[in-house]
Amino acid sequence: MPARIYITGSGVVSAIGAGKDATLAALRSGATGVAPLQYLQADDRSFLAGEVKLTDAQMKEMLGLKPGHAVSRTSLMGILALREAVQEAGLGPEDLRTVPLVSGTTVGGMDCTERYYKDYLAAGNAHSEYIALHDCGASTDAIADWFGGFAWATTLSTACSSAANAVILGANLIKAGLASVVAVGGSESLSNYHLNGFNSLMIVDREPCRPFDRTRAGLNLGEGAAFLILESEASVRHRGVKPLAEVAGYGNACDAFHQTASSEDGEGPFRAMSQALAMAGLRPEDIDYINAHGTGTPNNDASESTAIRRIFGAACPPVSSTKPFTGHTTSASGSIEAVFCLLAMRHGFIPANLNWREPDETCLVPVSRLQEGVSLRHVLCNAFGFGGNDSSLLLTLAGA
Amino acid sequence: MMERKIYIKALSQISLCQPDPDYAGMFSVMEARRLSRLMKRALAVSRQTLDQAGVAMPDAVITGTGLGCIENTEFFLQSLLGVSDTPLRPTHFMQSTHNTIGSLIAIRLKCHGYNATYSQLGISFESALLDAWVQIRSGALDTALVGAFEEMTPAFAAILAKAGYTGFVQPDGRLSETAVSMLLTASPEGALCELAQVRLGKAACAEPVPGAAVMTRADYVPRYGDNFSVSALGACDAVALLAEGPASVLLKNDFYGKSFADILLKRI
Repeated sequence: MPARIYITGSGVVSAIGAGKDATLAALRSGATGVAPLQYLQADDRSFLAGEVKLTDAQMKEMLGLKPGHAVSRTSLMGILALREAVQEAGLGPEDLRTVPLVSGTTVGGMDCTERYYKDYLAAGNAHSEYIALHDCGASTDAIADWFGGFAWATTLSTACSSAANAVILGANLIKAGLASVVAVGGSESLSNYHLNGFNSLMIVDREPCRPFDRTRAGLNLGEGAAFLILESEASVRHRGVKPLAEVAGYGNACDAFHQTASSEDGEGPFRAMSQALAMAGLRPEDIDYINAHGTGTPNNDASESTAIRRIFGAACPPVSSTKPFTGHTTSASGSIEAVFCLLAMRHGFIPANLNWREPDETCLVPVSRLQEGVSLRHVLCNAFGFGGNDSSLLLTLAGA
Repeated sequence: MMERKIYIKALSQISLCQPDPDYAGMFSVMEARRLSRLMKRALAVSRQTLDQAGVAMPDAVITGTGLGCIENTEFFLQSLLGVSDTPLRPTHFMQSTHNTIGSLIAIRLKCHGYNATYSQLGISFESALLDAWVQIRSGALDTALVGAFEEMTPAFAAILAKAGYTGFVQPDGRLSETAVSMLLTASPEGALCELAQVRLGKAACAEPVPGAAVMTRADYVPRYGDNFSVSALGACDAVALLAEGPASVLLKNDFYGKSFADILLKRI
């Protein structure tokens, strides 16, 4: 009998709200968080994006940090999300000293670097306190520091699958007996750097993104953070906590095709989802819902649809992409959407794939309207990244 | 649960002490122009390590890098901010994400296996090792190609020096960089040593390991210079040291008091 990995806490911050209550309300009402740029200091504010509707100053205030505290937006959102997860799991500061923190990010402190880079290059030390915030690991350390420290921290940086891979490492650490509780997830702020980068690759849509739609023309970027508390069966019993769900399976595979494009046959996603099913010991027909990566780029959605069809054939479970709600939250998307799946399972609904109107023969037909009153026991949550870093998580409702 | 031992079967490096190989013949003219210095090095040491190990296809490609492709990051950032006159080039962005290196290795090998990249300051390499160690021990993987890759630019080294990261530039002005590739396996056959433990965190291997020779950054940073992945070069030295006498080597990594990791290597 393989070790079971329980989820005992979760927290989320995205364009549709800070915290699970606001998130749940938005997912049910269909209220998108994608809007013209308002918070990012950008030259071109006409871009649509899923920004977290809080300034850095507001988040610092919420977290009791001084206005002048040097910290990246990635860390601020991460702390907010992790605080909610830690509270739900009922973990105190003492408990956290034995808990590893595994986060995923790629942007890290780039928001600070792009703001102050010219100062860094100039003589003198203007804003030099932000330099050490640049790298990915520093943003994770800043999250850990706010809580008074974790056992240790590390950071996955596999672009848009980073947070999903953090979940995978966390589960593997528990299975190996190296930890009984692990905090896993990811955080990513918007930056001009990657907004312009994605735009230079011509995969940003100036209109609201439309995953799996015939007219889809690219993604809207988003930002946010989400964390899960993973826990061993023994720890759940010892602490007497009630699990929300189980990480029943997962898969990580490389498309090994191209740095930014997905293969036509969806080999990477196919393998990732197949591995997750095999680990969970489930058949395709056991899956009640797939939260797709579904970015809205012509290439991703076709490749992902092909991979899903290869596994599920004609009996495809309901699929939706929640990216029209949040924008593509890149490195954080894996954990943000995992929290959406937890909410969907707990409250028995399938979030709509907003903005979908016209079927495309290369794509599956997603759930375009909210479905309530459904029973979701097993769900797949996909996160695919540049370089063909494809991961899939299989979550099972506790007690299902 | 099945718990297996983990071995280092082969390794290779490029550093201040081990110059670049001749890349002519390794890449087409087009590729040579498109790939950054670090990407060429990553492909070269990966090839060399796999050849030495006699492994055609690893089960996983796991990479550590503190700053990723910082040269391309700098190109794109300078274009974006108007510091340079170069227009924004999508290639610079595409090849600036940290996992570009691990993905490139997988694309070259057509390796569909597990692929992950860690970026945690000075313990990015140990994070990658830990992932491989855990999965080989459990039987999820039989082999893993673990790499540590770091490049540096004069401008970014000067910026980091302002943040207290001194030692990234050698006294003679050379920049310290790392390209290390190791093949980890579950089989002791023909292996260089056992990778007995990988621990992250300040309290890493709190208990002393009897009889183990201890290596710290002071033992290898003077040779290689300093960078976020230099501990992988220290691990190469530790493997070599095992051949000379001690039954085990404990490699302790205290990176600027910010990140900590220990690796325990044992002679077979």
